[in-house]
Amino acid sequence: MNSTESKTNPDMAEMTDTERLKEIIEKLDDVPSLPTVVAEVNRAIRNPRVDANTVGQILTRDQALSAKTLKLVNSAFYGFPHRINSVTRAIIVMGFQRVRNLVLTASVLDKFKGGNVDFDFSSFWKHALGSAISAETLSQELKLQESEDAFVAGLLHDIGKLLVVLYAPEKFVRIRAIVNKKNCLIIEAEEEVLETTHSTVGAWLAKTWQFPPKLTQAIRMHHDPQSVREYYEMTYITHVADIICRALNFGDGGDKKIPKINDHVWKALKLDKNILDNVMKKTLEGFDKTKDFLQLLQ
Amino acid sequence: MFKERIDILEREADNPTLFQNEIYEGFRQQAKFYERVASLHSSLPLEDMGRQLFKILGEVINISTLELVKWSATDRAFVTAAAYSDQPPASELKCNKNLINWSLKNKTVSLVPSDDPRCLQSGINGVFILPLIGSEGKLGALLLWGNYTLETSSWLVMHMLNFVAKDISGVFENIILRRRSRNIAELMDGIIECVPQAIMAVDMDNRILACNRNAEFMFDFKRVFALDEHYTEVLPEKLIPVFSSLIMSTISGKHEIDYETEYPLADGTVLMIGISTSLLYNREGNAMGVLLICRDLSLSREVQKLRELDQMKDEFVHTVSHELKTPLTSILGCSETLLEIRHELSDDFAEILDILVDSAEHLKELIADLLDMSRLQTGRMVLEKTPCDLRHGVDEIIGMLENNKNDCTLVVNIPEDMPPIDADYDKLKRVFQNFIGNAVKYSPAGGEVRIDIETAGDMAVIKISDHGLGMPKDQLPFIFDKFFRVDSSTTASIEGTGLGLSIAKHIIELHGGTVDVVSTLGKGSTFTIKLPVQ
Repeated sequence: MNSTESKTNPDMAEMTDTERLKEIIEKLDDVPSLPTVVAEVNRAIRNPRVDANTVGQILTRDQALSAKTLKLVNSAFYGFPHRINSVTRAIIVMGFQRVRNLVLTASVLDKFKGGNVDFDFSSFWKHALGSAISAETLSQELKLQESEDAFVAGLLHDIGKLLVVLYAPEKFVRIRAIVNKKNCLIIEAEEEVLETTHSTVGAWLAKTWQFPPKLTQAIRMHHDPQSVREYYEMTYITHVADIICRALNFGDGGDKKIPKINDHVWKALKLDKNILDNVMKKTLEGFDKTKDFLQLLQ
Repeated sequence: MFKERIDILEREADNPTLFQNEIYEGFRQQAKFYERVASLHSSLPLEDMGRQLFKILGEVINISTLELVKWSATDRAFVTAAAYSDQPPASELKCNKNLINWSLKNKTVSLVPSDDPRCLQSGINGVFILPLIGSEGKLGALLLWGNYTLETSSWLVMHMLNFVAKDISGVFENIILRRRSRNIAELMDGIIECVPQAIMAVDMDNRILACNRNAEFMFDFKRVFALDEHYTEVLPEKLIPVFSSLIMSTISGKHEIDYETEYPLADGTVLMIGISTSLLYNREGNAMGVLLICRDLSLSREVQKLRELDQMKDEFVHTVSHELKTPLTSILGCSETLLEIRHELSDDFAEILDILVDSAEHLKELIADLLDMSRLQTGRMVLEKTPCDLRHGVDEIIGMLENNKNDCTLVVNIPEDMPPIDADYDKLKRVFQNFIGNAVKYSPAGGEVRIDIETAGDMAVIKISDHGLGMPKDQLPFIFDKFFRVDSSTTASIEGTGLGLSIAKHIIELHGGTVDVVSTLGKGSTFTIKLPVQ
């Protein structure tokens, strides 16, 4: 009952969600935090006059993160013809936005690479990475702005699931049992157990981590795209990318179902079979080159 | 542009004071910059666009050379479309193709540091690559060479350059499309002008929309006065009924029509013209007029008729010559019998007999010539090659000419070790007879005719020279044509068919040889025949 209401009235839903969230989050001993340089980089590039050197210097303070970022910068996925040896150079070659997003990717992958729980992190990240690539490809294919951001939105759309897995493992076990038994969508099982979904949990985390609002919104609404009231494109893209990735059977999306692409989204993005075929083809090609991303999990 | 500002504002929402001044200044600079970039448009010549862009960008970054490269699918390379530079010229700089491709694939403005000593020497340490992407894929890139510090590449500058890349992509694509459509239009115009038929298009109100040069010729009007006029005002009166009914039935029947009609010209000749019509459609697929294509049929018919006649003539000559041979053989046989009793005849009858024999012999030669010519033309002449002794051949001809050599001295010069050549002896004799006979025939009484034979490599070279009449230079190219005779008052008295040289040349060519002539009027001629030894 509540879930149908929440679809028609997001504000109300947010209030009740927040209350439910509190219950879970209050139980968390330690809210996962990202390296401080991530926030600093985010803050630095708000200044339009900031130069590559300054951002580079901030990043170099966290040597481990810089090294991981450079590994991603030089991965086959981006395929730059020369080796890039410093983050500063990475910024001038690839742009501020993309390097910022790679820093974010590297730190999130690092934070959630595993835990003392019965959960296949590798499958989870494969699904996430696949969604990231298909979100970026889709937004390029549709000639939308800021395809780099679509990559991050795709990568982190299910981040809430990890929070549940790591910080409420017993609840996750119940969710998984329901999914297996009823063969339903994971969000339906989550509603039953948590009275909220991984989208809401993920959005809360994104907000805590000071992600850009459009990213937070895309994470929150990717299962309910037609209720979105701002940042339509990013949310729609994330919704479609998630489904494409399930169709391509990359990793594990939490359940075995391939939901239908929302009609409203289909019309709004002016999708057609050709576009989807193209995106699928390019996603498959891109996914082959993401070895370096998955290595960060080891 | 507006959206970017909003994005910045949105980012700053949390902290409105911290970067306020910076942002304000940034906005002012950006707004001015964007306005100037957006003022560049596709009707500017590429060079002017390069110069203006150089100026605008020069105020933001320390740029020394601007280069616009275009992707050429044929060459699989980026080629310079325009360049503007303080120094050094763009031709000395080279950006790695892979880097440009990377930038295009990732749709990212990149600053690539350069350690090329030539660049460093001219104070260049890097290049900004601005990918130019059109609606149908990669167009090329804008390369900005210059001396950049890391501070140059601020977030704002990268953002501005991204804007430039997007804006210039549009401008550049328009320029390319415009050029392409202009080229196609020119090409189509050219094609329509060159078509060897008269083309005319009329609209639904029967006004002339377009026509080509051949239409002007065929219907005798001037295009400038014809366009937009009713065709009945322009076309010759006699054609108007035909045209109106063709146009009417094309429109009403909505199909193509082929029609032939007579078209009497002012000078009395009558042209046969073929007219094809079809409906002309506009882009929306609605009929907008009628296209008429007219061709002159008389010309092609004439040629066809001539060809048929030529073939008939060849057959006629062959048949007649063949049929003439039989009665001629009887005449020659009878004459020979009569020659045996010549001494018994009175002087008058003996003379008549001589004339009879001479004429019959001449007729025999003539018929032989005609038959040879006809065989050569129809490809029925076959060579029967044997090893031939040239000296023997020449001697035989000289023997034949003994009674008819016009008191000429024949000087023969053949080396002792002259090898025999592989040829058809009878045909070769005809060749010699022709050239040597001609040399004697056209020499003054008592003149000298030289026959020099030698080998040069694997060819036998036979030179026949006389000091006779010679031939005018302008007639030399035609002397081997059939029935051609050098036209001059002095040659008129010398008889011949004009087939000899033509046949001789054909025979030489059948043997794989060549024949050349050098001749000076009044001084004599030299024919050089080259024949392969083997």
